[in-house]
Amino acid sequence: MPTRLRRPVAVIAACTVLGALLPVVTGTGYPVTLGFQFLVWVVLAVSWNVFSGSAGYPSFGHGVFFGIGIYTTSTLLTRTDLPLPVVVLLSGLVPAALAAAVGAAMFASPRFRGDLFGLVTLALAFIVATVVSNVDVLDGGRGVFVREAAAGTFLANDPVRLYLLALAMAVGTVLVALAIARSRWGTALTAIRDDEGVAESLGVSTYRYKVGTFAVSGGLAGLVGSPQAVYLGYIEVGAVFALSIPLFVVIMAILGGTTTWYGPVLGAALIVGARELLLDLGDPDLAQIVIGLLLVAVIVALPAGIGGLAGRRRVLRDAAQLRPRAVTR
Amino acid sequence: MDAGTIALVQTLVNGALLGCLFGCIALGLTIKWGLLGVADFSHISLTVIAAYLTYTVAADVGLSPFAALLLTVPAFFLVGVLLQLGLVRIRAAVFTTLLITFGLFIAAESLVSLVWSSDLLNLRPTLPDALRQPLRLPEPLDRVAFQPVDLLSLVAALVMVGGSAYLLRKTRHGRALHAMHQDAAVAEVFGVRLVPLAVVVSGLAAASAAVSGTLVALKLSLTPTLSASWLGIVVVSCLLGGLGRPVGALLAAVLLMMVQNAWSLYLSPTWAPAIAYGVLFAYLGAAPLFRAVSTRMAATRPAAPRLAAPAATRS
Repeated sequence: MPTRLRRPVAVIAACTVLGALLPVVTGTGYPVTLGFQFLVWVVLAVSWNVFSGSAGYPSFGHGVFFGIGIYTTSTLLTRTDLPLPVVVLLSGLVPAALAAAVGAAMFASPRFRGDLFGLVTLALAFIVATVVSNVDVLDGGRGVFVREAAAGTFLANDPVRLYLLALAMAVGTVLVALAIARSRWGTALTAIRDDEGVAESLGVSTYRYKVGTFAVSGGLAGLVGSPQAVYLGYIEVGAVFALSIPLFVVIMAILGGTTTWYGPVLGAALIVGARELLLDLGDPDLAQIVIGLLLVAVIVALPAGIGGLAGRRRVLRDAAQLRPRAVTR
Repeated sequence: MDAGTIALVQTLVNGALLGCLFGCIALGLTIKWGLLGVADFSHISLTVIAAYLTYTVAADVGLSPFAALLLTVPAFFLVGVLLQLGLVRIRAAVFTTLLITFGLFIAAESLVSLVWSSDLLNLRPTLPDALRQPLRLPEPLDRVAFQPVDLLSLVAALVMVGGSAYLLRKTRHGRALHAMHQDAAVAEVFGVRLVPLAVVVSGLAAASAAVSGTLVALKLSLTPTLSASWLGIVVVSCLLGGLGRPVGALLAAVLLMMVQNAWSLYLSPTWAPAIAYGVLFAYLGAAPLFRAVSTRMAATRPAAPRLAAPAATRS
């Protein structure tokens, strides 16, 4: 393994071991449930950052891919006898295919950048939600009981197994994000964020990178929809495609910092912690007001996020030692 | 005329008049988005808050609903001014403004639900008879009815949208705004005072939300989720009409609501909410196609002789 990857991989391995030990220490109670939710948010925030943060195309539609993953799992579990691993895999592949198709259409035109890209991804959420609530096979507006359908599977009524599956997905997502960030692929995405025209003229095939990364990002979000569907037990369109999900994802990534692979993990930890505290206030409306204002405050006060602070300090330190930083790798 | 035609005309009239209301709401957004570079989601929230304030003034205090305008118009002007000053201060890019106002949008929805509860509130039973008596279209269409409130929406749309279009096209300040949008630095050199201009425009946009809010309170039942359900129609109207063009946004809103109502008449109404987004996708998908065709057409036109001449002399 190259030296530059040794430290991050060691950190991730240590976190994985600690995470896997959590159910052993605490049993199956509240910490495991909270840990599960945290890991789902980690997957969502990190996978959002893989494309939207790295390439500078902020999407408001990340909840769509998550939601499609949830509904793929619920539909396949209730309507077919496919084995669970296939269901989980398809829950990632279906949203990845949608992301690839939407990306292929959208990135063909240079119009879809910045605010317009954000709005079109948001519109996608409304369209998909309308389709799901109108098609009887998927939902039909009545909601789906996943718990009964999942009764015979590996994940039935076992929070620890759900937690471990989410842990595996979170670790996998973080490793994917790290691998992309430290490779040619990540450099290409950074070039696209900094100046797409220049990147294109230097031979980066921006279109392919954008479509491919968007698909990976959507697929990872869909994958974690699978354990989420079983965890929820009963799903309905309003909650699955709620606007607050992409909003949380964007806040987490921006709070943690979009320029590092670990920033969104920090953001997810802070927001999940803050939300637990806020829910103790007893009023979900009050919690949502605080979250909305928090987004504003974070953008105003910390445009580069917490990870951005660390990154800036490292650049300053490297500059002080006159050590050239490996910029490309 | 048979009953089917009457129903169609009625639903189209209803759609067009509701579209006028959405045109009023879209007015502030399209100007701020197109000319100030502020994609202001919270404009929609302001409209909802104005509607609830109107409800409180009319139902709880017992004054005329129009008395609320005395409070909301100046107050909202101030809100618009402060918001723009804040955005200028942090030098927000368009996308940053989108994120910030999205945060405000989410917070405002919960604020409304906290203050006024999430129950449906309806002002109509308390209105005077003059505002509740349905009106009818003239003779050949006399079986088609509409509400006096809809007439108010139509008048408000014509006055506010028409007035804005006139101000933008014909006055010094309107042209200054366009100049600022094209190139702020050059506009400043030519004497446009950027910050005061932007701040006043933002204030006026917010004040227009106050007026729209009063109309909303008169026409619709109020719930905190209204803002989320309007998001599609208002944003799509702005984009279809062309950002920064109030008349375009009004026409697009009228057209969209007519299409949506006609759809609900003949086909499943549960699909209606997706229509605005479907139209947006179709438009955005078709726009590059149109452009490709028009550039191809321009390229195949015979070249001007003046350009062909040097090549001839060289040979």
